[in-house]
Amino acid sequence: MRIKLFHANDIDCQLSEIKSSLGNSFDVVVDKVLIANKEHIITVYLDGFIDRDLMNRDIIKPLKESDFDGNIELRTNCICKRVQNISQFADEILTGQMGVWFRNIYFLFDIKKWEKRPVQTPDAENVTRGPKEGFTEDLITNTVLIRRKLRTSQLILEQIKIGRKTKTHIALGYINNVASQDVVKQIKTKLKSINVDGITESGKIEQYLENKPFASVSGIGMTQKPDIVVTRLLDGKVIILCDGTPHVLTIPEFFIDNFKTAEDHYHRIFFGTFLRLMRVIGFLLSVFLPGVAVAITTYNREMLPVSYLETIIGSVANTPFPQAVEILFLIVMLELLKESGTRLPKTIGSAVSIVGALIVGDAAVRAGIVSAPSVMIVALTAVSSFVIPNLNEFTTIFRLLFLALGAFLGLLGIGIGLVLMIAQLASINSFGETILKIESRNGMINSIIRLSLKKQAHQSVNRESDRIQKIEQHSYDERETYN
Amino acid sequence: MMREKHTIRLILVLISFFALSTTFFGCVGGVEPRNIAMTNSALYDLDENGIYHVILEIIDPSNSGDGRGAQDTANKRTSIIRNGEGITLTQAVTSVADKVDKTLFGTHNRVRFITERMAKNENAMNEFIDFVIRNDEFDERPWLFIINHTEIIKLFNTSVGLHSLLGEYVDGVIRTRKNNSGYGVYVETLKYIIDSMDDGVEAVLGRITLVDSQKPNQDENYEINFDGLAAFKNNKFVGYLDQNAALAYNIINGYLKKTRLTIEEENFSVAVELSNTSTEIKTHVKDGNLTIDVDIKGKIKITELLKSAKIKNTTNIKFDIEGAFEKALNSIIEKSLLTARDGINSDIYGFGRRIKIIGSAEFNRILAYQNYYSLLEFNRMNIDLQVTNLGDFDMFFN
Repeated sequence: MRIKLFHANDIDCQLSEIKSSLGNSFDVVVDKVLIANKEHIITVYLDGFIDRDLMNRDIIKPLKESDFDGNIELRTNCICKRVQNISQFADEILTGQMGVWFRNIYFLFDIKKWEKRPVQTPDAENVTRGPKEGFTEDLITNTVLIRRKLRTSQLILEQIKIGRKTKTHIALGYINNVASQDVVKQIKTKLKSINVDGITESGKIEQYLENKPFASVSGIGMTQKPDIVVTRLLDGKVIILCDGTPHVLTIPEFFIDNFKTAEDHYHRIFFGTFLRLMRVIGFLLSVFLPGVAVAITTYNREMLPVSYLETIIGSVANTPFPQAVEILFLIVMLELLKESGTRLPKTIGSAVSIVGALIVGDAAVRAGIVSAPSVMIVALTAVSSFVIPNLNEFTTIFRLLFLALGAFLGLLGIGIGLVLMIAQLASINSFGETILKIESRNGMINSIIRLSLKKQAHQSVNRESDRIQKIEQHSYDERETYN
Repeated sequence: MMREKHTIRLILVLISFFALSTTFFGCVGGVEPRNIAMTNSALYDLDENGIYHVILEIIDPSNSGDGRGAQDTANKRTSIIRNGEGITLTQAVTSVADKVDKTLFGTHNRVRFITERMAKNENAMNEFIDFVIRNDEFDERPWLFIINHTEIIKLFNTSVGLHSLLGEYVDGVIRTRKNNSGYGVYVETLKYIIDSMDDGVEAVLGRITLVDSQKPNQDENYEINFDGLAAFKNNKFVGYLDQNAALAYNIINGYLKKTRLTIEEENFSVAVELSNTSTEIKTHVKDGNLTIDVDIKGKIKITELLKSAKIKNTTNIKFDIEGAFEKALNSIIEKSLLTARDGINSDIYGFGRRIKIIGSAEFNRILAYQNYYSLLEFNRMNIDLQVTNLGDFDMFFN
């Protein structure tokens, strides 16, 4: 066989071509390496993306040995892949692979290694019982976390790239024959239709997937915990993992799902039920308490016990603003504190919270700007809102709406707001299913009261057999139509 | 074009919302808590010149919360007394409101007092009922009592026990006495109104009298006595009945929960707790004559017993006690019924209501009689009491 030897000038030319295809950035390492037989290869990689030791030991070193016969795929100790052209070669380099150009052929080696956050407990989803691990920013780590809990070949993880420039890896996951194929198809279609420069977080995908951008909730759930994702998959839901973020989307997400956590099933029935009831109460308090409190004290005082009303009257006697304004002021202050506490470093953030809650709150009461009952109402509201972090956006907006309605229209306004809220929720669809959907009467009971695991397993089996029956019926119908 | 349509629609929605808000805002009329003057008790009077007088006890909230929410226990809660007058109750109340720089809030009022001289005026009482029902700022729940007008000044200078406010004190005492004593009558305003308007029953009110407290404290010269009742006929005060009549009223109407009775006989002296009373009343109309049968049952718990040495057989003493109390209660109830029938001629026990049960035609015929209650005859009075508990110490001392 005759081997064409490349002249040094050709190699330099190729080197500059590769460099320019990758943008001539400083972190793009393009080196000319002398190997056996006085030949040259060009190694290409992004600095910090690959395992250099592995590269030197398993790729470069074997090529430098005198008995190297020119067959890179056989000689190197890593999985090797050929690509046809330089643009494909450059794209793969940008995903973190190491590239070798030799005798006008592009080789790719998967020896990725970069710094990444270890698996940690997610801050927003702490649990007292159950797995503590949470997703990381690395897609593969996240799929590993799911696979470790769900060892079935029916778990399908499909990869899609989104973003003209970011080329973000998205993984679409579902359990075959459990998830609705219709929903999977719809999600795939929508994902493929996303035509943007970049996706950096799953929140953006969520907004591209939802039908009503101005709706209060999207009908798409979010979690950072693998055990919750597995539970959702077993419930027939579809998940979307996005490289670079630990937040995993679950679709479809019904409103009632926000009150359920995987942790409920780790506790005994009574405590699990108690926790769920606490979440429902927390939700109601966080949305309605400020509005109802203002409505009652301003319009329907007779509903309050005499001594409590007396205390309120005594407390607000010397404050300058109406109670609705006091509460609005405190809610805004609370949101500012939450925002600053989130953005600042942990140590300073907690200090800001303490300063805000204790010093500013107490000082505001002492200065006579706000009354103590208003502080108590907003504090209780804030504590309640943390019970369901997934509905934080929803509760914050509706809290303000109900406050305004309660202040202007009293309990009548609260009633009007409640009707509007339910109507708005009922109008939201998540991939063909209304988010207020409850599967059955037992499903509704199970949403509020945690049924025993045996009973839930029985329901699950029934659901699966129903689904199989439907699929068989559908296939039969199709065959009949064909015939 | 579509964009314009959307904008017009949005403007219409906003205008509608604004109009709705302002409309309902005016309808429901919210008042900030700081602008409320909460009344705790109210007294209504009508003088000889036909002028209504209203006295309101208004809670002073300055000691209720110190701006930090917690009630300051060191500062005793206080109230202010404001009075007003007018040719109508509304005018009188308005003249009180004019003296207070806040909106009167009467829904949490605890107690109402009306004077005896006002209660004697049928028109005044009708106006009172109309005022209470029609006015949404005043509730129908407060206790209603009658008081002699000469004692008005004393009333707001009485001992209020462990409480700070008169209305609160009266409310507290009644809630306790309702469960422990049958010697007073405790009527809410609404009950009075219903009885006044209902056929076959006459309304009653609780009566309060003021007695010297015999205390060195000059600020609290008097104490309130709640025994007895005030009887009405056709919404007009007709007379007072004593505490025994009040006990009979409570037993016959089934309001008695528990009360204490004491009897001193030749052979023993005994104090008991009477409870679980039930009354069955049967009415008969035959040949135009109305007859009533009354059967009363109850349970007795002995709380104190001193037995004479003459009694040797202690096993029969229970029966003796039961017999003695049956006799005593029979006498009390019969006397009360006859006093109501012959003395004031007012059907406060509601026998007419029971006649109505027989049939409307019969009832209408009976109503045609003037003073039908005076025609009633008590055919049979049967009282059956049972000693069910000898107390924690179940032996007898000689």
